[in-house]
Amino acid sequence: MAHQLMRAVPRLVARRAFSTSLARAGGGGGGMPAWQINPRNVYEDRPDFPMPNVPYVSELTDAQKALKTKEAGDWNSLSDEELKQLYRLKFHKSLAEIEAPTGEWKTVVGGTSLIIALTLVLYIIQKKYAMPEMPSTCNYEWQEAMMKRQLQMRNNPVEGLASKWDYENNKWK
Amino acid sequence: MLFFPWPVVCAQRNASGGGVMSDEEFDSRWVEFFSKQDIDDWELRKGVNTLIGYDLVPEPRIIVAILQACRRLNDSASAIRVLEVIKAKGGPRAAEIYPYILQEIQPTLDELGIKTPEQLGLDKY
Repeated sequence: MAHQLMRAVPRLVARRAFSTSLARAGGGGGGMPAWQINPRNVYEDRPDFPMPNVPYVSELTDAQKALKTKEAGDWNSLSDEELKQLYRLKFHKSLAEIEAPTGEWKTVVGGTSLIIALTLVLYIIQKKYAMPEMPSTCNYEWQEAMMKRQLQMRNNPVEGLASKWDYENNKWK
Repeated sequence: MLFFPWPVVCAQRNASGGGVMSDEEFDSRWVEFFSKQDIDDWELRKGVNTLIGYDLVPEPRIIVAILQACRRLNDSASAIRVLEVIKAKGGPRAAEIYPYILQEIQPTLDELGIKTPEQLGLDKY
């Protein structure tokens, strides 16, 4: 949950462009220095933005260029493999792959549990070694004696504590 | 026979003070947009990204226009992507809507030689 909140914030505010453009500054920007790369001209897989601004692969090998010229002709002549290859040139992941479960929840739950466990360990150490003794009034006998005193002085006899005590038979009602 | 209470809640927006657009006009305008003969790559992308931002599944004739625009741009990958995203737009009712759409656009798919993502195995992960 915290993870997702943290992820949502940059998405709403500064957009994903920062990390992607800096990450690809070496190869993805066409050799331009990082500060010259237009943050819009990066590829991004998003289910709500199906046609990214640039194709995934823009520098084509000769074989890929040949495939592109074949694409200019009749698509009925393209085999399934070629169509898939053309798809992968243009797009990194298919929509199904983008929305596929990542199992990230396991990391989140695991990490959170680990931190909570560490906290508990620290608390136990603290309680055992660092915290002062509990006051003497916190033990059971003392509490019992206090309540007995309350009943003796008839505390809240109408609606509260003493009203629940049966004085004839010396027990709770 | 399946009954479709068709979720074409079209963009009858008047947030900026314009008039309400009828469904017909909405469809026609989008078909016209994609039917531009010298449509360019950016316009295709912009059109598709905008269209799927609306809360509706586009009419088959709009989809046909998009596919034909892809053909003019020699872009088979985008055509397949569009089909994927149309299925996604069906939301929880995609199982009813998507086969209908495919049925309606099948002649165009056959004519242009576009395979569906299912046929190419791109709907798996």
